[in-house]
Amino acid sequence: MTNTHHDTTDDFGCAEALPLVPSYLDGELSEARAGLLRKHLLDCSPCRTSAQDAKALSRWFAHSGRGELGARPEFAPPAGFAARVARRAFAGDVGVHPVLEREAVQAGPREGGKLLQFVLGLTAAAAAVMLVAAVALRDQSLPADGRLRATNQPPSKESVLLRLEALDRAEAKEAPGAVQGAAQGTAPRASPAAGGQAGESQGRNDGQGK
Amino acid sequence: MGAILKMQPAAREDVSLVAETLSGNQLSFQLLVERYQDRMFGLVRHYTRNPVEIEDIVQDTFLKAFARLASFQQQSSFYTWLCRIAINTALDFHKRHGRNPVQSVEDPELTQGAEGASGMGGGARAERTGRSPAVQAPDARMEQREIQAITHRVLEELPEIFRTVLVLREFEDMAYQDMADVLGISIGTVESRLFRARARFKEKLLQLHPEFGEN
Repeated sequence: MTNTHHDTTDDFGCAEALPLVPSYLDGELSEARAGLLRKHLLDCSPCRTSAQDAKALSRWFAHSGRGELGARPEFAPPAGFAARVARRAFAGDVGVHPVLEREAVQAGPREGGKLLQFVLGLTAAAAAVMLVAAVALRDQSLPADGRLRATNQPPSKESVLLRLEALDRAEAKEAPGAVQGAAQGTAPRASPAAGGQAGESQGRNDGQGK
Repeated sequence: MGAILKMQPAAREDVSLVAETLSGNQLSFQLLVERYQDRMFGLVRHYTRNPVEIEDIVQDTFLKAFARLASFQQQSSFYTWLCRIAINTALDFHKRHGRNPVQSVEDPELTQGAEGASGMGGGARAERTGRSPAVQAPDARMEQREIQAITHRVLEELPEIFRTVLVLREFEDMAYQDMADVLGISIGTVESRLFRARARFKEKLLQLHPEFGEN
């Protein structure tokens, strides 16, 4: 289509004319350029059609109510708007409108989130310290050679007898009257119950003593 | 002083009000707000439909303007300067709320060609290579509010940079130089961006509402 356009002058063809059409219709072209364009449009039917298209769009905007949107009541400033703005300006308000203030309110939980993060971090650090301390205390209370000393094995019969004899001797020294009975083998400690208790006690002592 | 005398009366009044505000006159700032509040509400309305949000953004815009008033250079008009703050505030608002409008980096048309004073992007090339149906002027019986709703819906579908140039030009009736000042770009870039924005608007309008295409 462009090829069918005319070159009305050596330097001013359709390629130069078309981009100038909107500026021409807007009254923004210098008289010199407007003159060239007018001359071209007179001779070039396709460019003339393009200019008419542009005019049609311009008419559309004119019908849209150029400059009238602000006059519609729902978009008009409320009563006392100017006085309020002037008052706020002189009070030092630099343009933080209510929307920003609302955003600041919405930022509240984010601040709370930071506090929560701090508390959680602190708790985690405290837990770590307690864990280290517990491990250290545990290591301290463990036997140095790493072997467990407590045992559930009953003491041997021989060791029990040896201990009993030692006890008998000690009691004989403390209560001479009883030594005779002991020597006769009638001492009540020889009962299975007493022996068992002694054995258990001995076993615990063994475990603690080693 | 000579520069001030060359200004339009409205611009001279703005300069006076700014100076009085800077010297501590609260009423002067209130007058500045009253002077531009309607236009600011109209502009911001293209970035959100929620009236509460519109009010918040416009209020924020004026408060920011007050805080930076000492840095206001009289090279551009007060309104142009205010527009720049309002657009940035509206876009920041969307970012903060995770409501990112269609971004330029996601727009394949923008990544195709360099955008510059002389460059026209894919939209311009498409316009040259084939003619899509023209947009019909809306039926006179159509309610203006209905047309506005359609226009707004189409604008919402456009990448933010296209939407902004269309809003500044088609609704704020801003001159190219003022648009360049607001957006911090060259006039050539304004031209090319506007060209592509219109092409995209038309394409999207006809896609959503083919009934508005010329038969």
